[in-house]
Amino acid sequence: MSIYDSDKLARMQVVSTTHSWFRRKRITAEERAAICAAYSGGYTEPKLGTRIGYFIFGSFIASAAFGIFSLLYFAGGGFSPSSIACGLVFYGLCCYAAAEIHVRSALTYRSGITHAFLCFGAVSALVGAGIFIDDPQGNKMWVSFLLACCCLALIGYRFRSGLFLLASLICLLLALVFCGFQLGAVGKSLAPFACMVLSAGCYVLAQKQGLPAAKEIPQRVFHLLEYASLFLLYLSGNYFVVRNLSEGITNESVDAGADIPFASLFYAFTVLLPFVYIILGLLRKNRTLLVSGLITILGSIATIRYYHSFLRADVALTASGSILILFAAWALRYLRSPRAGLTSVKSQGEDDEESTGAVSSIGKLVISQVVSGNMPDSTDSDSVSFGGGSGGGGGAGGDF
Amino acid sequence: MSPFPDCPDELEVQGLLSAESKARIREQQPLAPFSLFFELNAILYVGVLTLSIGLGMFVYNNLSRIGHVSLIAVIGLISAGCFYVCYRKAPAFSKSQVAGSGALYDYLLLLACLLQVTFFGYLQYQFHPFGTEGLEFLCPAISCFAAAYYFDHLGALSVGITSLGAFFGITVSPLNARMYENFNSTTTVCVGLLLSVLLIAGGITGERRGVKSHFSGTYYQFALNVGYFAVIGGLFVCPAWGLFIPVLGLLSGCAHWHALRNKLFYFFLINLLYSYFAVCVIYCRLIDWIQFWGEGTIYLSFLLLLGSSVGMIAIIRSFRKKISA
Repeated sequence: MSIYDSDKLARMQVVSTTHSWFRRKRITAEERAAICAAYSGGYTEPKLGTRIGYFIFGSFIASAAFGIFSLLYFAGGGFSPSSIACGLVFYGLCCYAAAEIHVRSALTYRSGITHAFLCFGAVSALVGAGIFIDDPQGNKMWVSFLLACCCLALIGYRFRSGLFLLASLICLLLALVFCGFQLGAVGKSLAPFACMVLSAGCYVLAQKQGLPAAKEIPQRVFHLLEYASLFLLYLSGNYFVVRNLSEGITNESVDAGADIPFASLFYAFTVLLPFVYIILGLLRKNRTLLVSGLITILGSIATIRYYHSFLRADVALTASGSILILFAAWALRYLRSPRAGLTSVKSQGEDDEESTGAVSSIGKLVISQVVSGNMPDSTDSDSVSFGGGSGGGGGAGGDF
Repeated sequence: MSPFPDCPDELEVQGLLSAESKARIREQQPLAPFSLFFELNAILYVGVLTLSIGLGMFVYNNLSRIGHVSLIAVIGLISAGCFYVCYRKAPAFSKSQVAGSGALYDYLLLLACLLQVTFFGYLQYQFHPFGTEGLEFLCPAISCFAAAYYFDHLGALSVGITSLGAFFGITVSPLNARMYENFNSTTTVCVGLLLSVLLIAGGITGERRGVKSHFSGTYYQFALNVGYFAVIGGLFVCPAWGLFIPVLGLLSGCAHWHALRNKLFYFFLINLLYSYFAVCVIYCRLIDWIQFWGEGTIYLSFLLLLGSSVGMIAIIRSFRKKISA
């Protein structure tokens, strides 16, 4: 079922593990060279930066191909919905074929080019299928999403792509929501809970790697699914999401003074779940839970502030900024010597320099964006006189 | 062969791994405590940004209610206090890279620099003590450069460079919409190129003299952004846009050479994307110049996009091979 040949995949894995052993000084350079030579001929896996570059230019190739295809396909006129749908599905299948050929010929594992072709192909084919389904009232939306879920899951499984499996999970949840809304008031009320159960189930499966073919799926895919299912669990019960999704699908806004069913339950879920994540993360020493908790807590603050703004924005930002700094300062000092198995000292793990550099650059871009916000814009930049620009980061690399 | 083998035994049987190496691989590592280093740093980072934004908004909202002098004094005092605390904890100055005093002091220094920018901006907005030549940007720039070199802090250097850019009348953040509006005249394009050259000179000088040579990457990164924005702006707005083609070649060539010499893939990729976009702009200008409009142009454009993208992928592959060799 997988497009990747298991022998070549195993060779790649042996070579990659060998490099990891060498970096940790477990084996000698001679041993590394001997193992790499004996296990050559496997797939090569591009690093993150290379994959991004490949994806960008792979997207350009797919776009250009779409342009040429459209010019040729529609040269004779005839813009009926079914002809457009046929064209889109055909183009999608061509992109899929290109992705298959690329993997087989280039012997590259997780190449950005493959992903670019697959993304363009999936979007095009699914839009084409959506036109075929022809559902102006939105009554068959759940069928569309279910179809998308199946297609994306198959592609994700065949190409070992966590992103496609994630997209498939999101489509499944949306299919569930739309199906619930089709079933009337009871279905509408139960839809968020069904999504929560599904997300939680997905998390348990991903954590235990309980799928039948789990052995052949790389660890990182499960890791991504763990994060995704935790965020989707949170979003399924977040008051803002539930309320807006409900209003968006039914095109009916909630009356003044009234509220959505189980509102207090959703409020409690929004507030408590991040803390549950953080506490479980600290108790189980699970970084996925901890990071998800820290990120979702921002969503909870934004949700509460959106509906119940009891502090002015400037006061809230200043106060919360001060509290965060004081808390982090205290925790950094308190955990300098390990307590309860926790420490604030950097672990001796391996850092991927490329990713660290990119993340650091993004961080500095954000910091400098704040500088630009605090600078007055007093003069016209068109004039030669100095001053009048504003600060901003250029993506400086490195740590500080 | 089993898929995904973690197979020291199998490798030993094949004679590829010695018994000692296998024992080292199997060696149990002592259970390390769970590190919260990155999480706590992220909280500090968000805290510093939130506080800085909050104080900026607070100043703006309370201009008429609280006395200007007291507000300026409070911001100035907090900034000065942060600088003082960092100064007390800082290791002795060294020309080379030194270990910082810790994450907390790094972020405290960053907060001091950010507040200082607010301080000078507010002072100028209210009392205009710096005239109209942009000294309100130059002062924090100088101070941040000094802090960056003294405390060995790349964040302070970034703030310094952005303030210097503002002194030149240029926004140097690709995230900021104003950067895209900056280079709308020949004058601003030339000023942008001048700033880019100055930044490159700053990086080269540091490397040659051995003074904080690790700062050069930051200088070059800003120079690349400003330089490309200026060149692309020049290609769009200048009547003699052809003059910018050699400048583009020079900038692209130098950046590629720097990336190759230092094995910087991220730098190479940014350079490649900027160059590709600039060449696309040149293509559009050429089409416009020779008035070659029609269906053939559309076909040609798509074919060129297709071919050039294949070429770019080949360049990326070749660069990766060169730096991995």
